[in-house]
Formats: sequence, structure tokens, C-alpha cells
Amino acid sequence: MSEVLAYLAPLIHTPIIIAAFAGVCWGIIGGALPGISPSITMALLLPFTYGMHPSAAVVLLASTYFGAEYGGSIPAILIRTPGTNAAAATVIDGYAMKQQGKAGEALGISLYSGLVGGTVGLVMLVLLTEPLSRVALSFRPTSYFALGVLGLSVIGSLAGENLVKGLIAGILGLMIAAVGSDPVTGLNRFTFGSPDLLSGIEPILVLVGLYAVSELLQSPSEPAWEKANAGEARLRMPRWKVWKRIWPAQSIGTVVGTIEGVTPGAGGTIAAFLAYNEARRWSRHKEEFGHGSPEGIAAPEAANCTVSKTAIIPMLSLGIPGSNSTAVLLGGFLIQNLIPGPMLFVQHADIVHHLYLGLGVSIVALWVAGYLFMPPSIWLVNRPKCYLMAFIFALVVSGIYAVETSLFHIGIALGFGVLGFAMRYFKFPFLPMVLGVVLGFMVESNFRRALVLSADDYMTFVQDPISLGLLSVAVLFVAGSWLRHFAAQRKQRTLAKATS
Amino acid sequence: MSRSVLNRDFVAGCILLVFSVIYYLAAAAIPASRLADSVGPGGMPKAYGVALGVLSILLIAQALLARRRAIAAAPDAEANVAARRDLHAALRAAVMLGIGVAYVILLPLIGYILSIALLIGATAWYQERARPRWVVPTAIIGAGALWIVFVEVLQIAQPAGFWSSLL
Repeated sequence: MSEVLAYLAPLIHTPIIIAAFAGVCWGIIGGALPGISPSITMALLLPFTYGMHPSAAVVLLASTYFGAEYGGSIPAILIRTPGTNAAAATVIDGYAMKQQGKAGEALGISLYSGLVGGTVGLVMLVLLTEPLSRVALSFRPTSYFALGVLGLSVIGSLAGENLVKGLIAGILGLMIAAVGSDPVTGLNRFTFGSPDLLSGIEPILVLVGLYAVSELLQSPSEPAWEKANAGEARLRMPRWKVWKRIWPAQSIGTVVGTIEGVTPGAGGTIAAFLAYNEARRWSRHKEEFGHGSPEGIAAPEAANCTVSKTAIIPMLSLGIPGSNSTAVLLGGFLIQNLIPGPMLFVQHADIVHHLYLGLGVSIVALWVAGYLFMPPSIWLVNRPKCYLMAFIFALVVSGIYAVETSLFHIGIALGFGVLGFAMRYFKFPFLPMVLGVVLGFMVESNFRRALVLSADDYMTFVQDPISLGLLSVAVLFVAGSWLRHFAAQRKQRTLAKATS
Repeated sequence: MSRSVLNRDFVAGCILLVFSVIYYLAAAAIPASRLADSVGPGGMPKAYGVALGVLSILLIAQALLARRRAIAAAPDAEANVAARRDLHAALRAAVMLGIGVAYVILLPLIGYILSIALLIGATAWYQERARPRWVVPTAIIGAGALWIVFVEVLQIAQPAGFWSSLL
């Protein structure tokens, strides 16, 4: 008993509970606004985490991710517009149920499936993260370099339809990481005589610029979203009959969510659609899918809420973010001078413990806030988009200035916003660039350190078994991406020929 | 793939190729240090420059090849409409950016509360010019709320501007 109490004591001594509730509430609101993705919702919070208790900061961001994944289903059901990409699968049956006058029931299924997904995801996070990080405890500079390369090799699966563009974005990220003092000699590189650039470009500026500012630049050209009817949206707990019907779909969602969450580059959107597809395949009521099936909401919602927890596993244990949201979460860790990876469990085991506790609280918070935040979310969705965008713009510039009370930082974030806008226009993915920015220092410093230690023997990278293993996996990742890429191109060409 | 996307890839490839050359030259100009290892401070950046150059050439080649293959490319009229839409979006983004830049310039001069009110008002008005009557109240309330959050609650000093000299 005393051990349990000692384990739970941080809930009283640290502001974890407040952070979890605040994160979930903010996440629901952000997720409910179409166009504001979970990563943007989290990026907007980043400047506020400076000066926060480290545990509260990471719990706040991780809970926001969880809340946003659920929040995305609210407009998906009510106005047929997914608040997040992952909620796109929920639109199909969610909106059909709303048209049948069952909006409250659909919202209830979404909330309770999210709670199931979040709980299973948290169990998986606790069970899988530490063993994975224990393997990584015996890492040397060669292994860290190989780990960085493995992280970068994920770019292949994140690149979308064009692998070359993904690789280019990754290289640009590495170039951004090279700005500032050289990790070995301390010599200044690409600082253009500016003292503000001596310590490099902080990942937070890249994240806020790419995700939030570029969205603001894009927003005047995008149409306004529909209005929701608040009267239709009284959330109702699913009845026992519905529970009996949706639990297999929820189970499918959690299994798919676990697998997709730990797979870098897969993410909530793929998980949600896969879960939807599998739920339909195994359902006894296949014909109802697409026409308001409760299982069609339960499976994708359970899947994307599971992903919001399991996607943290590779980020926490190896320092490799596999999605936009976990990249922002990684940024939150870096702000607190916490380096995710094996050493985090040695040097800051308390923070990891607090994160687990906070994520546990976030499940309760989602249950409470799911009911309480429905009216404000609908009220916000119904505000004219222009005022919301204006407020978000004000929040971004004020938050960025608050980081180091520097106007230069606002300029840098605006610059990355322009870069993000250009990347959207030229259809370059963001995440490979973020990976380059956060992994660039690790790759370069460990590569050079390993060479110094081995008297410039390049064979050191294959003589270390861990490094060899990680590099082999990285090669397999890249080869797999190339093969998938070529297969997709071939299929596209065959289709084009058949059509012509 | 539409013709406009192929053109975009070609343009992006050319811009990146030029950038990679400039970046490589800048990396090569990084002075060597006596403390330097065999790779040196310019070693990795030079490798990034070369990699970017190669990938840019690949992107250009991809765009040219795909353009040759694209038999059923969008007709010229459709491409012109897309180009006009892109130009319009770029101009609207430029105005939004201008609002941000104006904020950075005005902040030390007129202080936080006034500049943030102007930013909120200008953004809201520009994004939807149809309802200007709500712009001023929103700007005033928004600026007040942000002042309370940042200055009073979070205790983050924001520039006071010329107001401080009047007090």
C-alpha cells in the first residue's frame, strides 16, 4: 500500500494533474477546429512551457496530443469536416449518424472509444518503452550515430508520394541543424556574424514556423467551415446494446493503433483508416458501414487515440519521433533540456514516471472534459474563422517573443512560416525536415566523435554490433521505401495507361 | 499528375540546385581549425550541399520525365486558372506575412498592447472583410486578454514602447 502511495505521490507534489487537465482541454478545443492539427495545437503551447516544471511541461504536451485526437471527431460528426486528419475516417459513419438524429450517441461512442484506446495505449507505452530503452543503454558514439541514421531513414516512409522530396526536406533540416557552433571545434558556422545564431536555431522556432505560421499564411485562401448546431450535440453514453456491438471494433482499433503507433511514419490517420477497414471486414453488420454504423466510429477513434500514446514509445525510448505530433513533443522535451532516449531513463527516471502518471490522469481528464468541453468547442467552431486565426496569430507572436524576449526569434519563426508555405506549395513534407533539425546534431557530433575515438577508422561503425544492427535496419527501411515508391509509381503508370 | 505540379517540381528543383551550390561554397569557406578532426567543421555541411545538389538534379529529371509522359496533362486554360489561383494565394499570404513583419517593427515603438491589438484587428479584417464592425471590439478585448495572460499572469515583460516615456 505504501509503495502505491509513494508511486502516486508526485500527483500531489507536482502540477501534473493541472497540466493533464489543461492539456486535454486545450487539445479538445484545438482538435475541434478544422485545419488546426494536433501538432499545431501542441506547437502553440510550446512557448508557454518555458519556465514550467519539466514534468508539467511534458504532461501538458502529451495530454494535448491525446485531447486533440479526440477533439478532431467533434466537427467530423457534427459538420462533416474532420478537425484532424485522423478523424477523416470518423466522418463516414459519424456524420451519417448525425443525419439520423443520433449525433449525441455518435459523440458518446467517439469519446468512450477514445478512452478505451487511450487506456490500452498507455498500458503499451508503460510496458514497451523501458525494455526498448534498456537495450539502448549500452550505446556508444557509433551506436548513437547509427541511431540517428535510423531516425533519418524513416524519412523514406514519411516522404509521401515523392521520395526525392522527402529526402530533400531531410537534408534541408540537417542544414538548419548545422547553423551555430561546430559541435567539435566550437567554430561558428552559417551565423552571418549574428550573435543570435551562435547557439543555433532552436527547434521550437522551426516547429512553430512550419506548422502554425505556415497555416496562418495559408488560411486567407481557404474557405470558412460550416456551422454546427449545438442543440444536436448533447453527448450520450452508449447503451449496453451498443457497447456489446462496438467492443470488437474497439479491440481492432487498439491493436491496429498499437502497431501503427510504434511504426515510425504510420501515424493516426493510417491507423484510423486501417482500423475502419478491418472493423468492417470482421463486422456482422458490414452493410451498415457508411450508413451510420457505430462500429465505424468506434474503430477509428479507438485507433487514433491509441496511437496518441503508443507513438510516444520510439520517441521516448530511442529519441526518434515518428510523427509530427511526437516531433513537437520532442521539441518540448528539448526545451526542458531533457534528451529523449536511453539516458532519459537513467538521468530523469522521475520525469518518465511523472509522464506515465500524467497520461493516466489525462484519461480521466478526457472523460470529464469530453462532457464539459463539448459546448465551448461547438461555440468556438461556430465563431467566424477570421477571429480565431487573428487570435492564433497573436498567440504565436506573443509566445515566441516570450521564449527569450527576442524580436529576432519572431522574425525567424515568420521566416520558417514562409518556408513552410513554400513547402506546401511545392508539396514537400514537413516531418523529414523536422527530423533533420532534431537529429542533425546527434548524427554529426557522434559521427565525428566515433571517428576521433577510432583514429579515423570508418570500419568502427560496422565493428560495433549495435551500430551494425541499427544501420542494417536503416538500410532495410530505405530499401523498403524505395521498393514501395517504385511499386506505387508503376501502379500509377499502369492505371494512367489503362485510362488513356 | 497535373502539369502545374510538374512545373512546380521543375522550378523547385532549379531553386534548390542553385541553393545547393551557394551552400556548398559557403561550407567550403568555413575556416579550418587547429583543433579540427579529420572531418572538420565544414565536412558535414559540404556533404549536405553535395547531397542536396544530387537530389535537386534528380527532382528536375523526374519532373522532365514525368512531363514527357503526361499525355493527358491539364489543358492550358485549366493551367492558367491554377496559376492565377496560386498567385492569389501567394499574395494573400504575403499580406499576412506583412502584418507579422509590421508587428515586429512596431512592437518596440508603440508597445505590446497597441501593436498586438493592431495585429489582431488587421488579421481579422483582412481574413474576412465582410464583418468589420466586430474587428475593433475583438482587437481591444483580445489585446487586453493577452496582456493579462503574458504580462500579469506569466510575468513576461513585453516592450512598453513610447508609453513608458510618457509615464
